Amino acid sequence: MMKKFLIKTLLFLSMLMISFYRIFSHANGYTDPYYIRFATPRQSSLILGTSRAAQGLQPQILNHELNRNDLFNYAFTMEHSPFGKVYFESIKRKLNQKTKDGIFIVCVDPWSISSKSKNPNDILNFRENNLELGTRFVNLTPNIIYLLKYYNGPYIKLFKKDSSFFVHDDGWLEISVSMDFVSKQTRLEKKMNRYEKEKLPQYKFSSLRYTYLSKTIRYLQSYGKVYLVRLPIHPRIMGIENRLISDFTGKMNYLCKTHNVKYLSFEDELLDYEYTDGNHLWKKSSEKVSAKIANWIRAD
Amino acid sequence: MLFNSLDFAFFLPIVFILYWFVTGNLKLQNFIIVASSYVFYSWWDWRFLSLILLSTMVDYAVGIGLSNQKDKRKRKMLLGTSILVNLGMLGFFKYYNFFLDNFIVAFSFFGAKIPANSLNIILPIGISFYTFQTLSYTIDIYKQKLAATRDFIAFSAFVSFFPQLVAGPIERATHLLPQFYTKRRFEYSKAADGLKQVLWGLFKKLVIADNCAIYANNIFNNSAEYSGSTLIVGALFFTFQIYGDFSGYSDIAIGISKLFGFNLIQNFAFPYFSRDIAEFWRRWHISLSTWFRDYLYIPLGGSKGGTWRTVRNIFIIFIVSGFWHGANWTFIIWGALNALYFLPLLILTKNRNNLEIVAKGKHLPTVNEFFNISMTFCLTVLAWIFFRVENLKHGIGYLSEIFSVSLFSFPHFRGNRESLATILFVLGFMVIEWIGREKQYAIADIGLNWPPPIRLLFYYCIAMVIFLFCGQKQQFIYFQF
Repeated sequence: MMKKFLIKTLLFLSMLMISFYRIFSHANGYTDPYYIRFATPRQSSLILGTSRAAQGLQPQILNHELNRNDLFNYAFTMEHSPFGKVYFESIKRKLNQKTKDGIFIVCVDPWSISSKSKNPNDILNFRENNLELGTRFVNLTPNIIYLLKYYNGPYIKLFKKDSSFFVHDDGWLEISVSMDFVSKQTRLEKKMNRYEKEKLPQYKFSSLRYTYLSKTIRYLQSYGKVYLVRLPIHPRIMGIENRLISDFTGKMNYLCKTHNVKYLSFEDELLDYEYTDGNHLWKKSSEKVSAKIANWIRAD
Repeated sequence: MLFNSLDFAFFLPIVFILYWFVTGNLKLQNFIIVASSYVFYSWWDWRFLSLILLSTMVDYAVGIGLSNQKDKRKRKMLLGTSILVNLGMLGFFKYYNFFLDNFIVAFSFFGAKIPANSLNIILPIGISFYTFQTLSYTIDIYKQKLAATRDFIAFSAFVSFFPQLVAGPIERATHLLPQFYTKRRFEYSKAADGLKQVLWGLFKKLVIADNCAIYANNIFNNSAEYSGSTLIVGALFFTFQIYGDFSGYSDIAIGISKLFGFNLIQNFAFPYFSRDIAEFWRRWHISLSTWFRDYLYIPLGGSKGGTWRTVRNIFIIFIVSGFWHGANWTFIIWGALNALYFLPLLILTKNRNNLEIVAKGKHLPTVNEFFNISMTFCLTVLAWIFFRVENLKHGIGYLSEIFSVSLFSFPHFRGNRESLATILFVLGFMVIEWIGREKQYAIADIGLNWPPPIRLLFYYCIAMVIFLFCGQKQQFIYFQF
């Protein structure tokens, strides 16, 4: 009796597992803004940072300009990937340990070295602790564990392809939004309002996060060359950031000196680019910025 | 550990195989249940395991004490110890801050300021369920309805039995405890029936409750922005959310128990097909309603002391039942509202009119039955508003907007197009519930006479619907009680 029950149950479960697997195989760049980053093999060259880097740096352009094929965008969001233990460990998992001549573009901004917890160095309460980057499995295809644990919403959506975003196989997050003046301005005002009223009063510089940024640079240097970049943003958002950490450039220069790495800041050419919401580069501008960074790296 | 988690998907087969591997050794089987139940509970917070252990040890000792004691006064003292320990734990963890806050408010009303701080107390999961279950044991021994057990492992298994530990059904010692003394043999039909009930419970929870929760949460959390008609839709979503959530949990619990050879009591009997409130309360959370009936209503005198005394007793059990759900005035109002609904039936002695399931043996209800079902359903939906709102102010605001002219506008809320799929699921679900309303759970008999491959396909389809359409992961509502 028990044998019959177990055999029948196992057969039924196997049928279901096969079906589930086939459904999970449909997960792709439309699934969510992070899935592809966890469903690709280990990488030898990485773009790191928050959503600015996720949307603003296109590996395809960088690879083309640098005559490589291995740059991968492993940047997430200000909530998910500020510098800290969680991101550091995730980078270690994603990096191919056999890499010798990798390129690592580390995008920095004041939010990525700040915390909103009462004590900005309270690692137990870091905002990213319980989010997607905590997963230990970052190189599975399909990444069933990620889909079971973090995918929010019915799996029927895995078949949907209409979305305002798409994550390319090289990790670049492409955003498609209307870029007419009114839409752009509305989004900018909304973002300004949020940053000014909600984020700025809450966030404080975290020396622990700064240490983790330093640790990350040191770690990556064992596998290739590291470049620090501060991406362009709308001047009004830059104003808020300068209030959050007024000597941000000084802090980055100190890191460059300590680790002997180069730093490129776009602070002086903010008006040369277009932004979707003031905080993220529009894809046409991100092409330009990616090409410019590639030229800077090539000149090194 | 949640029933709908990956952890549980690994935990259950391991316990199942271990348990049946030692068939014939009752003590070892019971021990496996105790150990696995403790692991199950510790997954949430191991520190609160001490409360279950305390409750188990106190009630085990009180049980033996009661069986050895003939002196009435000493027996009362022993029972008092059990009640004090169980309700004391419950009172501290669940109601301390509520009473403190209300005392402060009451005294400040008379101009006195009390310097007191609320404590940051975590509510141990399932405490309201297992304290009531163990209380039933000592009370039944006191009333000499049950002999005290000397088997500590069996008693521990009764208190901590993992399928129903954190959200019921609240079992009576007279029903569940003897099952731990009886040799259990694996029965294919019972186990298969259990799996089917688990599947149906998962459908109720993951497809119905979790999808309804998206819209119910949105509307209730932003109720100030919405019209009266939208708020009605929000209340309707919550009505199905709470039913899917709680009865789904009960189905999973009962189904898992069947896998281990146990029979738990039916906790829900298609309450939304009730023709009056009295019938609703005979069909909703049956294990709690009967607990209050047997251990509170009847000891208070029940309906035997004249109309006013009966009315008083009815109000007491409904209000206490509301308070059992949570330390908030909203639950008390919810209980009182149900007592008010119940009152006319009681006064007109119509509260036992509808004992059988509606339209038994027929396909459809009569017009009169349909009207009564609809009226009862509407009253229930209104009462659920107080169950869901954050506080009394929120509840009053919610109701005021419903009874305003905006009730006659077209409902509109964030995601109303996407909600169509959920509404279709709810409608389909209610049809299946109607078809299966004479059974213990809706799909109990569906497909029993079909050829095995078709039956298998039917279960496969349910499993695929669950998988494809499960909503955003939500905690079981009754875990907070």
